[in-house]
Amino acid sequence: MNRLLTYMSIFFAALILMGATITPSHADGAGEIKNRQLVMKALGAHMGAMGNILKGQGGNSGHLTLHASAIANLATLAQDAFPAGSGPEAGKTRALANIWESGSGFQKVLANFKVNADALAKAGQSDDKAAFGKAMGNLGKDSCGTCHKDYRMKEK
Amino acid sequence: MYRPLKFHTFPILGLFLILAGVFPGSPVGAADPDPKNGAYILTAAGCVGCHTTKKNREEGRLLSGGRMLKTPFGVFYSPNITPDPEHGLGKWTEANFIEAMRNGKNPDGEHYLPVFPYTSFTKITDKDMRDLWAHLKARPALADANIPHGAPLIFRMRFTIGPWKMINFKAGAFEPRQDQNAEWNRGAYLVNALSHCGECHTPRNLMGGLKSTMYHAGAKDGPEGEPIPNVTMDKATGIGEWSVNDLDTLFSMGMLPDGDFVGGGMAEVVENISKLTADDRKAIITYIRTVPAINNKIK
Repeated sequence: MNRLLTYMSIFFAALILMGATITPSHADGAGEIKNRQLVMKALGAHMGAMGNILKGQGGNSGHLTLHASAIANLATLAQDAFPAGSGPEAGKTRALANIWESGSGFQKVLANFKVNADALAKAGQSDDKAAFGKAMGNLGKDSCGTCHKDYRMKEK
Repeated sequence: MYRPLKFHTFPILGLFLILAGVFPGSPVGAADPDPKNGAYILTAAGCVGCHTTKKNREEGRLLSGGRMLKTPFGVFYSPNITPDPEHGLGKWTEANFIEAMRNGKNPDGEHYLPVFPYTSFTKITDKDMRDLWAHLKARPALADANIPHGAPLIFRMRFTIGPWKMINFKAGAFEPRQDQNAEWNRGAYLVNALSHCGECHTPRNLMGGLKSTMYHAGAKDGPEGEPIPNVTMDKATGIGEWSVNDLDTLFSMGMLPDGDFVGGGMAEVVENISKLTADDRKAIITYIRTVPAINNKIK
């Protein structure tokens, strides 16, 4: 009887341990790459749509604020889109390995992205078009551009 | 004994002062260089990009050279162009600098390798060159030693550059076209003399010279191995479908019409172009949109 209990407790302990390793959503590096690419695509689509509106080429200028808050949300999602193990070793990605190297400055750029995106969302709530354009330019140059220059592989 | 100045001596003194102002000891008719405009020229020409390593750039130590340039013709390292007397341009004269920019020759009369885009810089006006020199020599000197080039010997042999220049290089400042307006000419000057767009966007022949018949039509193997887009007005393979505003958004913040942001070498270019005046960006766009369409698919 005692022996049975021991076996059972080992069995359940093993089950719990297995569960613990499966539970986190990002067990698969390739899946994480996919997630990151989708988040980035969504970001690009909202930025492009805002650009289209600001250039007067289509869309509704009353929707800028919705795009801006979507970008602020996507910036939050982006904070978790670069987990360890989702670099070039995990599959086809243009994310450079230096993202995961300490001292490369990436975490600072990523955190700053959220700050810039929130500033854009805030600017979107006022009617100040010039301030909005400035916030968008700042986000574009300081975050999108900097990151793509230093942490994204050049096209081959 | 003290003699008071007579009244009629003042006009003579005045005349002397006027003459001194007109001929201030420099070439006749040349105004004093303007280092502030020189700083603007430095930005428009993107000098910092090639002449600064990434690490130094982050530390604000600009123009001391050492950046590795991986080209299809081999690996080159940019030189120190700060006023350091040993490693930089500290011993140079203004004439030395103009000779380098206009004719691609160092103070010893040797040819520069064309990785230094004097093929474009030769088109810079005398005034802008003098202003740029005045700015460069007023910058802090940094004592960073130069790194020898790693390119294959054939692309490092300076005596081969003489014949190369006869075929691929034409010295001389930009001359405005009379049949175009001032804005177009300003754009052409910025694009072809200062920002040297064609050095990447125009493909090269086997000798490394620019294929002038393919002006701005893109290259599959640009500097650092990047494919370089066709930026002629061709609708299918170039930027013929882009609006003026699409171009302005690219140059002012780096965003492409699809919402993506440029990386690589063009991100560095945008950093510079976005700092130019709005009028200059407009001039660049006006000029670019008149470049003849060439169908050339890059990818």
